[in-house]
Amino acid sequence: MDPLLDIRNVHKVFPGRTPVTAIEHLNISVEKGDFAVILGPSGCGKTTILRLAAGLDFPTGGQVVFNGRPVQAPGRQRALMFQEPRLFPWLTVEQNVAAAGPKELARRSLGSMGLTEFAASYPHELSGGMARRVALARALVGQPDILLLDEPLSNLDLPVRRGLQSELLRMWQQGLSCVLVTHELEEALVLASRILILSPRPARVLWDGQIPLPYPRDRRSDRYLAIKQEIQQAMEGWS
Amino acid sequence: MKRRWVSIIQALTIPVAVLLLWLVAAQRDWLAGGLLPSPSEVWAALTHLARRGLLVRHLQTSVLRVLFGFSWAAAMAVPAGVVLGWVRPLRPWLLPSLHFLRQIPPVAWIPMFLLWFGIGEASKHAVIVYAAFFPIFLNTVVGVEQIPRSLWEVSRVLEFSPGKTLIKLVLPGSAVAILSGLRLGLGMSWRALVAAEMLAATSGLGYLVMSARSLVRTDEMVVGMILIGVVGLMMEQLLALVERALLPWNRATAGRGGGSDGSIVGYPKRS
Repeated sequence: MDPLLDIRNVHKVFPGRTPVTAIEHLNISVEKGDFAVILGPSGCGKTTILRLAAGLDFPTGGQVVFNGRPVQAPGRQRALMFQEPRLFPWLTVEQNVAAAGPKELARRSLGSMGLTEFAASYPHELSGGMARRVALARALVGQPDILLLDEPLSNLDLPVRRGLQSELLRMWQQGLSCVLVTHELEEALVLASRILILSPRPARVLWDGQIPLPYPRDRRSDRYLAIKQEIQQAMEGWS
Repeated sequence: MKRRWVSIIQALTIPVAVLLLWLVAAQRDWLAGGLLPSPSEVWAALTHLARRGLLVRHLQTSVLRVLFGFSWAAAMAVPAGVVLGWVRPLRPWLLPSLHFLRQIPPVAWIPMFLLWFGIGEASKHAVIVYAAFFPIFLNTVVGVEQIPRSLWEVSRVLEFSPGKTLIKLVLPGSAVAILSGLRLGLGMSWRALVAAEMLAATSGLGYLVMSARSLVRTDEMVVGMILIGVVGLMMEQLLALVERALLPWNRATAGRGGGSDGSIVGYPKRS
């Protein structure tokens, strides 16, 4: 069976006075049902990978294939959740979510994220965690096949972060495939069914493996610690 | 936020002081020579003009002219600005010429417009449309340009149609700039209209001031000038109210430099 998202020998050079090669001959395939976490150092081109997958940017060489078809434009089957919530400041929470699809689905999505009572609020009235929730609700309204997440939980306090992590896991367990990029190992270990470690720029895959641990992850179990150690060794390539 | 009455007192301090000084000056005969009328003479002229119905007539004429011309200007300038702000490749072709035109003040067009449109209403409307067009148009262009790239990307990811992009992103995203352009444009067209009425008209507040000149009626001149100022202020305040009603999300961000509200009381508001 074809992979859901296939990054084939992708090359990305940003032109300029000194052209920057962000990605060089990168191959990543994400299978349906994966919760793939791409773990890479800051500035390694993680965000670029997601933008290519979303169709916001295009590779200089190689191909990004989704569901057997090359990606040529953004599409709602590939929902992208940006690093910042990026809500429209002039729309209420409900209007923001409904901008992504039918009103009925928007209401349901808000409800499932526990946001119903904030439906009439404007984004500037929300806390950082709430705004991320709204962004997540909006990303899900289009009923995507895959959810692309660009460090969506950065700059959040621990309880808020934990809440959103379990929210993401719930979505994934309901059948949504996810690709999340981050530079934080703990986050990867709590969420991932599979982890890919990238090298510093230009990004190459240093390590790729399944994480066969039950959810919720027990951070003190021997197997967790063993996997953590293995990944930490692979991450030594970062420096 | 500062208490409202404090800013009202602040706003009124200078006008009241000037009025008092004026009254004192009139009482002590400092105004002899007839170059400046006394407040009581101005008041008498005002009531006299009002009783003869001239006040309402001139006022109405001027305001209706401005509303008509300003509406046309807005109806053309906002769409044109949206197009030019949205379609970047058009800009290098059009903006230089438009900036050139903008340098020519509306008053300088009056002789041409009189030739083209005659001495009737059409030439006054042309002056107003011209005066209001550029502030509205250029503000709209800038407003659309300033919509953050990050939100354009959201509209692409969510697969907005062009119509949806216009309604959910472009218009609200530039609304603050458009409305302040409308406010500027209204002010510009009011001032330009008065100038046009002084040069070629048989009615309107500008005509009132100018016809008073030929009879050396300084009292009527002052009545006309004060009215011009008051009406201009009132129109601007009205638009500021509209602005606040239309942009509920902007009230919270305005204090952080996100925009300005046009209220003269406590204006400019920056923290």
